[in-house]
Amino acid sequence: MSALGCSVLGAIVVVCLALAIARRQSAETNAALAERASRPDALRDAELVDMERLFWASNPVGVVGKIDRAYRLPSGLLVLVELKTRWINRPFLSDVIQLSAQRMAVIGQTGQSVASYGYVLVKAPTGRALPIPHRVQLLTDEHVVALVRRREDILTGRVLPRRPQSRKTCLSCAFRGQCDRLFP
Amino acid sequence: MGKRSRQSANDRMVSASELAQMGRCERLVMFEHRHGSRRTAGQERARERGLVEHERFYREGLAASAQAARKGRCFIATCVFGESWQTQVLRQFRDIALRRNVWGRRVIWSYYRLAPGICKCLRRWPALQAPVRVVLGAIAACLRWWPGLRGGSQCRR
Repeated sequence: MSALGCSVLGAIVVVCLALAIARRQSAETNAALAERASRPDALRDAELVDMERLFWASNPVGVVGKIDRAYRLPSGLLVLVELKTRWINRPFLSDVIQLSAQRMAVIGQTGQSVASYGYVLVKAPTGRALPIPHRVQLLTDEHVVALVRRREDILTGRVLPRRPQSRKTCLSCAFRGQCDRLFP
Repeated sequence: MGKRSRQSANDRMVSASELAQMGRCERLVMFEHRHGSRRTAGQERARERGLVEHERFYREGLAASAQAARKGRCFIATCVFGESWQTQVLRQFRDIALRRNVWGRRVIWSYYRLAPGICKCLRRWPALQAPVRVVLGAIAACLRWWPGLRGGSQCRR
């Protein structure tokens, strides 16, 4: 009886272990499939080479950027990808600036050739939504440097900051009251 | 002006996300520099959702990389050379020359089907590794000087 009980218990343990392994493998496969599904078509043959990695460049200006993903095309060119979670399904200028600065940091640190375009994956903030890729043309290094200089000028008070292009930006801004008082 | 703004802007690096704020609102950049980051409740919730999605995005990437590493290994070269320059060159040849066209991808696909079996034989009869090493080493040495690979990208690490 006790031998039978041990056998049954052993069988249950083996089955549970097998189920746990299968479940884990299935979760891994699903995650890998999700990565495949989220790729833009142009990156179908590319290799995912970097994720969540920090790059920095100090010349001509100090820029540091953490990339979400970098894919390497068969030609050897790196393509940067940035994930954004929002309801509005389009890339913003801020996304382009972010990717451009990241590109400058990657080139500055590694010397690798990075594509002059990148992808912004916009994902609606719901659990099941797939990210939608948008190809964006990145700013040149000169533009990024000019932007860094302008930022420095704004921070040191040499130039006055411009208002945003869209007044909708102000509606969700935590500094709205102060901004209205300072810039009536 | 706050203490932070008195610090020379040249002294510090600017992060890509800080610079990205310039595309949103230049005044916001100034206020955040003076008073620190400030978010509304809605922005805070959106930020938390974004962090969760980024975490998921990262995990998906890790799983895909792990799967690709299992699939994309240069089986025979790794088997006879380990992680060496020969293996790197052969991987580069796979990624730069073969992957670019349909026939090349078919060759890769066929290779991945055959290679694990060949590796088993090589491990079972190590004496076979020496001639394979000579042949693959010669091919890798030739490929190393092939203009298509020179100055090309680095291989999968």
